[in-house]
Amino acid sequence: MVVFSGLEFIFRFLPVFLLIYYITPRKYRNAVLFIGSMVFYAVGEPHFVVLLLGLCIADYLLGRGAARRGKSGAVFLFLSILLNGGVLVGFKAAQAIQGGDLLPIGLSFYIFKMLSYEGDLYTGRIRETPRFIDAAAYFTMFPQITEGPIMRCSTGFGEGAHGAVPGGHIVHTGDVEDGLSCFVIGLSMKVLLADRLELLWTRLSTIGYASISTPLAWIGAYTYTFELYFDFWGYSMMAAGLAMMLGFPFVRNFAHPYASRSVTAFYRDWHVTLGEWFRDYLYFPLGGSRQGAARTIFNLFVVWVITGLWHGGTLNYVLWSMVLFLLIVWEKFVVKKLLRKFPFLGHLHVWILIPLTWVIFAITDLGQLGTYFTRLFPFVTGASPVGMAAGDWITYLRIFWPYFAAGIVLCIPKVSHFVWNRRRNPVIVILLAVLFWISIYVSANAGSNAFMYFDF
Amino acid sequence: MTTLSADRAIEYMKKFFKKLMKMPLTVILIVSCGVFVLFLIPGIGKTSDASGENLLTEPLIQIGLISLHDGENPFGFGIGETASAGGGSALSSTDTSGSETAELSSKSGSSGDEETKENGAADQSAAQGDTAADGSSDAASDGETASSAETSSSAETDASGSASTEEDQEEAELKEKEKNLTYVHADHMPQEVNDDVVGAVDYGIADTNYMSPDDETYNTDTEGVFAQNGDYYRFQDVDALYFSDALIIGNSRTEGLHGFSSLGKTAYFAAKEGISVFNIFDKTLNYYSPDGSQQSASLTDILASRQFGKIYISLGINEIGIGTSKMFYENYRKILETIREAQPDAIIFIEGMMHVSEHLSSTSGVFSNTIVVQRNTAVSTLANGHDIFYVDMNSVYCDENGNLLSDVTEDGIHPYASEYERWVDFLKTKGIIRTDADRGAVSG
Repeated sequence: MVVFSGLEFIFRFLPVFLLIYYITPRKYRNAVLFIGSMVFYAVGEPHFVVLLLGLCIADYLLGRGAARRGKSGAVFLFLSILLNGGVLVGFKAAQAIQGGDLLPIGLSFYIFKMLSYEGDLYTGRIRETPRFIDAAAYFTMFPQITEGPIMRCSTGFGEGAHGAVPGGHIVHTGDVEDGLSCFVIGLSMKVLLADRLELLWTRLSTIGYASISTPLAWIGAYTYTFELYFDFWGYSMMAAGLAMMLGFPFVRNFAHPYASRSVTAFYRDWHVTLGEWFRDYLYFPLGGSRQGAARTIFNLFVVWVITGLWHGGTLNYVLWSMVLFLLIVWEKFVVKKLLRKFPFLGHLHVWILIPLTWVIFAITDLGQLGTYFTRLFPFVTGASPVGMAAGDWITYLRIFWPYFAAGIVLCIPKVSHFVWNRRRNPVIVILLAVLFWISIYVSANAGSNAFMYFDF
Repeated sequence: MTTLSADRAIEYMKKFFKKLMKMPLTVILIVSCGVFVLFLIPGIGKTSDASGENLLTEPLIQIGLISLHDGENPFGFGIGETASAGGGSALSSTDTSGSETAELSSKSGSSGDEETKENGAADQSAAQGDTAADGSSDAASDGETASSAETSSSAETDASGSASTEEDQEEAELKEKEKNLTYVHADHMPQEVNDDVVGAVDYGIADTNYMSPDDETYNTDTEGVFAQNGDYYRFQDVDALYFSDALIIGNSRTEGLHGFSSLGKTAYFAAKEGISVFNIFDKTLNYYSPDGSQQSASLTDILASRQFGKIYISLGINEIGIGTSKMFYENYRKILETIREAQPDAIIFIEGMMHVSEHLSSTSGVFSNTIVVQRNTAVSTLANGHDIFYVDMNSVYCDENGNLLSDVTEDGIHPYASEYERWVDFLKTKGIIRTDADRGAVSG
């Protein structure tokens, strides 16, 4: 039920919750949101719901202290960093050592929300300390608890925010409609694009990386690139849409990263709320880029090491983040002028180097990862670029080209702006309704019938 | 007073509809979902199982969409009434087996610990024992494999009533057969003419809904094309040429064999991802010829297009979570009968399905080698040692616990592309040559 594209969520949890939420008087809506979210979380993670509740209470209390600011506030801020950081690092470490699936769902996301909450109270970005129920609703709200976006408390819950009053939100019909449109767009990107492309990516590991041809290895790199993008972008759209339907402002998590002109810019537009979190709560406090080149490089290094570890405890994530760190330093200090002169070179960084970094991100086993790169670049080791099956890449391209074509089209910012600006156009409305039904048809038959995924 | 409140109500309604007009997508989705559900409600009896349990776990819309996907009619009104009948019967037979397996689970649970890799072999020998017992009514020597010297004399006595010319002819034929070193004449099928079913460790978590009771019998019926006639052949080594008139039928694993092994260039293949004993005749298969050409065709059409010397069948993993072992066996049996009808002279090889990895078998109740072994054991009884043989490639693909070797697979089901040649090498040790014509298309 904790997956938004699952039919139990769409047809059971969501309608029941929305009905209760809408008929609840405004000032009790955050209470309803908190209870509903705890139910939502408990279904997916029955054991760790206690941990979540405990953290909510602790962070609320610590936040009251941090809001005092000054020296005593700093003590509370320090304690909250110790607590939240300790929990996150503890689980990540246990996961890395033990393996398996120890990490509570969404821990990385809600811990980051809690940390930002404490920081914002200490620095005064949140001017009025929220009541417990408001803070708890912010920490746990179900649209964001599993995979973000890491919304700031000041955007959705603070005074002066979008339609917010203490305790709850005004919901405008236009927001419900827009939120639903977002949700449907996100749903179809995830179900119809990402989940389809995943089949090809899985297929490559089934064949065995050692046996694929070089063209297929490159197709694989782009398959994973698109899969990850539309999975995460789609999910973020669903989450943002759901939050809008509850009266929160739209939270933008992806701003067309593949249209950007450098790796640096890519990461400003990719997973925006995480990037901004690292910027505001780590990079800037460390001094950002204002204290000389050496200090900037060091700060970038710290940010990227932690970004890597945040994503996962295996070595490939460290490798992934270090490659990105080097790429960003390279862009910032070596080829900066060149990139400004020839923007196309920056596009090449994004279109060629980023997919390669995603391969590092995707393959957790370093041995397998090495094998994959020898298939991407067979000439380095003198291996043949031909796979076990001659022309394997033609076979798969023939099947999957429509998904790639759709993916490329959706990477063009103008296309999605065009659609979004005309979202009230009857043609677009009907298109979205059709996409919704196709998506749930596919989702129904993939989810309940395990054998559709496992078509051997 | 009343008119005032009526006016207000109308005013309120107007406002409400105005708001609704501003949210067309919301309205369309709510209305379309509502209409779909309204149509589904009268059809609930058709789409949910008898217990109604899936109504509790799955939203009605999900059940409706799944039955639409399966080609059934989930609605209350009667379009395509017959189409739903097939699916319905499959479901109901699953249900009855469910109650049978309830008592079985305790039984297999207690013996689970002792059951090791001999499990499968023991089952197989028990099955062979049954065959012997059934056939023994007209035979003097019981169970033991008769030597060819003995059998030739018994053959003479059988033929004693016939005309002398026929007798001579039969004797000549027999002599011809005996020149073939792999030929055995015996009252009962000697065990070594088929592969033993490779066993596997039982992790005790196999879903008994997909199994049959351990005492289920499969081999009582050896009539028709499955009948044994006293003539048996042993496996021998063959070369690539042997497969030049072979048709290899199977699911994605066989697709892999075609794509990634040397056999892809020597044999005919009829394969498709997702096919099972339940749907093989309903699906369009990929039909590959040794010359590299590829067509889409039904198995019926492929079998009618030409005569093959050998037919290999590898099915089972897609339907591992559908029906029981008995149902699997029954469908397998029908497939063999259909193939035999279309291909009267082909040597048929039943390939035991490849096991799954330890990771899958020890964590999934469905992808369990316990179920695989039971089903392999069931279909192995269809071999008659004469023109239908059972071969089990797990002897070259599994570790000592009967699990698919962990370093040959990523997903626990399919071998890596580089590991398919193992399968070919295995099949090359399992040739059946009755006459020179069986050696391959060129010499035949």
